[in-house]
Amino acid sequence: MRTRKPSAAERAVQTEPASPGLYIRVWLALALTDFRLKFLPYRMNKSFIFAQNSGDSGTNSAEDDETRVAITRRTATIVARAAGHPFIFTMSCLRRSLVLRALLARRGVSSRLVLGAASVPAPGGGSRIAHHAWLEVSGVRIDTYGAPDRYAAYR
Amino acid sequence: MYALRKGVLMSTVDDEAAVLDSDSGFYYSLNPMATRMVGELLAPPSDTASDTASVPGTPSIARVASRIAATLANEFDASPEEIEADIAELVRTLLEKRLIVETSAPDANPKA
Repeated sequence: MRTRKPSAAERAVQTEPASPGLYIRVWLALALTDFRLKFLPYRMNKSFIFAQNSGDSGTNSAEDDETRVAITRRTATIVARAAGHPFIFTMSCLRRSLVLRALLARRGVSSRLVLGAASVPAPGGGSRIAHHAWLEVSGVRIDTYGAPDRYAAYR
Repeated sequence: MYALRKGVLMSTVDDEAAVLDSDSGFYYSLNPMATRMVGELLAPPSDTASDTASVPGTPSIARVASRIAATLANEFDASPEEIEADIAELVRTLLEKRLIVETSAPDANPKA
């Protein structure tokens, strides 16, 4: 029986098994990011949040895009699972996206942090603006929080 | 004409908008009327009439307000004078908070 040759995307994600050590490192990165955002003044976090991504997008072939997205989805799953145990920290969409962006940059995957807003019902009636953060990789939205698509991106 | 300043981002949600100043970290929410006014303010004029006053490169707030009020007069239940005054006040507020600048300014956002 012939076996199917794995695609480039499948080969890429198979190179990094999600070990317990990796989850711990990601969790520490999330906690450190939360600490930084909470206790450093905004002027010191501004360049951190709005930094240009250092990952190299390389060529733009469809296979490369598929590989990048596959790596991103795999890494996003690890970040989401690590963030599922916040303990005393806040592991919000922004913290998750910043950590995911840094992890992707280390693997040479360029991503773009996107901030969005949506009008949601306010507790006392009326509406209020809610915010959300996610990443875009090769035009694909990668959301580590599973938020609905109702958020419109800031442009 | 005016544009968002570099570092200022806008998101339109339903008929409201949120304006985020990435330099300060503050965001502002605009009600539907202000959202409509800002939309007209940032859109290029449809006719050849210029918003530039006698001093080249200096937009006249009153002239801008008059142009936008004429466009919005049929949409709001208020007199053109009231709409014009509201627009002028909104433009001054946005300028004071450095959310918008003249399009000719070096820190104007070319994407806006």
